[in-house]
Amino acid sequence: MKFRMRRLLFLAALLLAFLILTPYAIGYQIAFSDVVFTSGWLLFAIVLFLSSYNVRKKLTYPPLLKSSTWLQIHIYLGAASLVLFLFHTGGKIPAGNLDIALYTLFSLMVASGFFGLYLTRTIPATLSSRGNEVIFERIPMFRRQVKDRVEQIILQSVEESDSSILAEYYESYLMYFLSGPRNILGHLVRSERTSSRLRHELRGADRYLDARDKELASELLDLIKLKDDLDFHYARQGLLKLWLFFHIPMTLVLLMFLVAHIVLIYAFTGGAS
Amino acid sequence: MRIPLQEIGHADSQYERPNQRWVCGWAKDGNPCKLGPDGKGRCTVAAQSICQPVKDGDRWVCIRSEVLGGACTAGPSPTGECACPPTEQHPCQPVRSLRAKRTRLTISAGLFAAAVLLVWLMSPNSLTLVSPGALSAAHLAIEGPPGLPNCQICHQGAEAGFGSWLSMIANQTETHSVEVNQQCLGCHFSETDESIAMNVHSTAELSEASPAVEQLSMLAGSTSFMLSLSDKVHSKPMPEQTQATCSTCHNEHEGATHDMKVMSDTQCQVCHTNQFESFNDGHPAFTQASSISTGIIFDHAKHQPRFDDGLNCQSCHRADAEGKTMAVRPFENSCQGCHEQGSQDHHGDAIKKNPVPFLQLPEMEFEDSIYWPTELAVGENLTPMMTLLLAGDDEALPLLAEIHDEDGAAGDMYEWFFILEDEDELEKKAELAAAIKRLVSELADYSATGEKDRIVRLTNAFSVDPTEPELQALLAELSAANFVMQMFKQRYLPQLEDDLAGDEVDASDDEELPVNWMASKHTSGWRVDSDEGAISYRAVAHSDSWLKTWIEMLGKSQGRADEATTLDELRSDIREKMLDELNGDFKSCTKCHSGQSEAAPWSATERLYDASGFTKFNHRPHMAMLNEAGNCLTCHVPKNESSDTSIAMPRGFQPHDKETCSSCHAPGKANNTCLNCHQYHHERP
Repeated sequence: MKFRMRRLLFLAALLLAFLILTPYAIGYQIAFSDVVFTSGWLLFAIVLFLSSYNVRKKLTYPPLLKSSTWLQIHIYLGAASLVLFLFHTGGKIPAGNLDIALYTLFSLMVASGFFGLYLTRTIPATLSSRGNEVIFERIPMFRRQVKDRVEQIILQSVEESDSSILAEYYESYLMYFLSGPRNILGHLVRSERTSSRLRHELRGADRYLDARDKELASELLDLIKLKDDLDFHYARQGLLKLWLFFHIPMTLVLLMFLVAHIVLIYAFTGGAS
Repeated sequence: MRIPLQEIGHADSQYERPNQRWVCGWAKDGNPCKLGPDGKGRCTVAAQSICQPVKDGDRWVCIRSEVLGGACTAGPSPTGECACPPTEQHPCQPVRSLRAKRTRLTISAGLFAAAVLLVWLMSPNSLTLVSPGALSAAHLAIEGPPGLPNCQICHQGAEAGFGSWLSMIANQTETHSVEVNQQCLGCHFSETDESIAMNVHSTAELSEASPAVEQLSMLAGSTSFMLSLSDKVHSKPMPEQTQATCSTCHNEHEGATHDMKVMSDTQCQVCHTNQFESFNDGHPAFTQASSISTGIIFDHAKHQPRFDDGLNCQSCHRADAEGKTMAVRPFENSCQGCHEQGSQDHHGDAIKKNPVPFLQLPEMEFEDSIYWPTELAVGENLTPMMTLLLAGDDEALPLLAEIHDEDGAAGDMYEWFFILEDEDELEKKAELAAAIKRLVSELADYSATGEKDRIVRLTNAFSVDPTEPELQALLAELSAANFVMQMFKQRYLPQLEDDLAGDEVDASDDEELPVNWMASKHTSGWRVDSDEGAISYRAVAHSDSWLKTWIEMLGKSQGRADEATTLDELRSDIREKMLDELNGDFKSCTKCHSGQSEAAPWSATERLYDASGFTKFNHRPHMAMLNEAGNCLTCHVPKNESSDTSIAMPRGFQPHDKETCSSCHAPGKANNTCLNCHQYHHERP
């Protein structure tokens, strides 16, 4: 099934569930039923299932569906849990300290989930616009290769021409640029200002270069572009990994607070009558 | 020219393992070892990178593989030892992979959250921290122990802390909401009402056959979508359910401004068989006239001539301090003007003050020598009051039961005598005479012994505790009447004390008093009749304390039948029968004072909050409804010749016209919700 069709179908199903559940929830509320206990336990079960996705990713056996299928279920069920959460809380922000903490944690979880979904849906497209696919873990190695090549070119320039323009340019601009990932925040907002400035400086010096240096400068321009693309991939792929540093630890925190919430509810209300 | 970011070549691509816990520390510089660290974070290259010199002829050569960096530059020493510098022997410091760092962060966050929660839940002010919200304004006033929140007042055991909360879950024998309910009932319902507090509408009587339900069932109103839905999801109608708890409707911890009593119109109608849209759309007309609401029976229609003479509503009614009810002014300010002037006043009849018989010696003849004033005792039956007092005597009780046996004498003394003769049990007559003599002796005894005997007798007779104020009042009245009883004894049974002491006495030896002790016909209400050999009492004035005390005592004893023993059952039965007979004697009181509970309400200011149990009304905001004449006829329409005679109108008013109410109580105008006029609880908590 095409992604767009699948997404439309899910949204339609979610809307339908909302339209059906809303009057039923109000109906139960009118009839003084303890619907809040039902929705609470259902929500807890969903959160447990959503949490198990990370466990599933670590398991190589047994083969419980493909990870991509799990991800789809994770996304759709996560969105559905938000609807259930609204029913459970009655759309109101609670007043108790622990409840406020739990409400905030769940909201942050859902928000980070949607943020992650947004990233996974937008970043790959932007990456493909800046070069071919590159494995995140290899980027430092390629960055090192670029740096080595640039240094070779600068040495060549010094040896083969009388000009020290490229060497000075390297010392003033490129050495820092090549020594690590640069313009991380700029790449997150698709800003090429840093590399543009570097290329602009090099082009500005072009008229002072001899023929050999011009050839080398041309290759330098390509390498600056390459390094900038690598940084772009590094920044954006890194963000894809970084948001999970919030989403996954927060899951465990949420589960802890959920257990405390359930204990307190049953201690102080005795559960559904 | 764009250079590819990554050259994918078999020989150039090394296998990345981001899922492993450890990676080469040099990876961040783009120059990782090819093998990387082992699973425990040890650099495998370091272990293998030391070259293994091999002797090739007479030379030592390094044979380290290309994977491990190839032959070292320096090569082995002449003695065959590795000559690599230490830095090359330990090329990297393995670092944790991103995934491993994330796992550590996750575990740390989880442990931190658990620690925070434990500190939170086990701290001294944990109750404040776990509270789901502030209490409502009314409950905020409930004070807990000094320095502690007041949680444990409702949640027993809450103050004991987190460990106790866990055991509260484990040890719950019934739902906690029911336990909390008991705390609610302690303040909001009387002890006697607690058993019915959680019934539907907090009443023991409401059932599907009750008038309120019946009336609603007769309605033919349209059913809204939400009501249909709630009917479907709520399979059991409320009356068939087990008792509801307070928290079913009243949600606490919603803040000081939260109205715990709020309930939607739809929720009201969920339980009723037929529903309607609103007060203005489908609510039934008011087909019943208001019944007693003040405790005073008053037919306004009968007093119509007085209204024509200038009497108006304010002559008898005045708004109470809150303006909620139109209270009836005291008797002295409203009724006395006509009803204490005697029938010669054409404005109204005097209150009838019929004498209420108290003591009368029944006519009995004995074959044996029994001390009894045979010639003076001419009563046909025992008076009800006398019977009630005799019922306090355990020995007399079986005799009374026989006299009032429906299958036997049925209260007729002569019939009982015939039965005794038939069954040859004439000694019972003597037993009855002895019981009556004991009663007379006790009533005439002004000593402390007599006082104590009367306490025991009344306690037994009415099945009430001696400390009850009603019993104390009756004792006081009997003590006050002691002088009349002494004269009675002196007149009819002058040798009673000797007789009771076991001496042989004869009624023929009784000396006639030199003066006619009956000369005073009205001794503070007491009336004696020498012909009948009886004492009766006539009310001295309105609010007579003797009659009032008896009515209150009887009201108190109603429903107090402790039927633990046979004697108790007999007493309860006797009381019921005497109550019926006394109703006639007390008619001069109960004609206007109607008892709706245990005792008759004497003052109209003791007005019941609600008129019908579920209906409430506040006069104050409706004062603007008074018509031009300034009276109350806009709403209170007197019955007339065209009134529907099938409707009981005890107060002389027709049922209220719903249109009068709905003209203002409508959408967009005045409040037209159910709770504006009705209250859920039959007895207001």
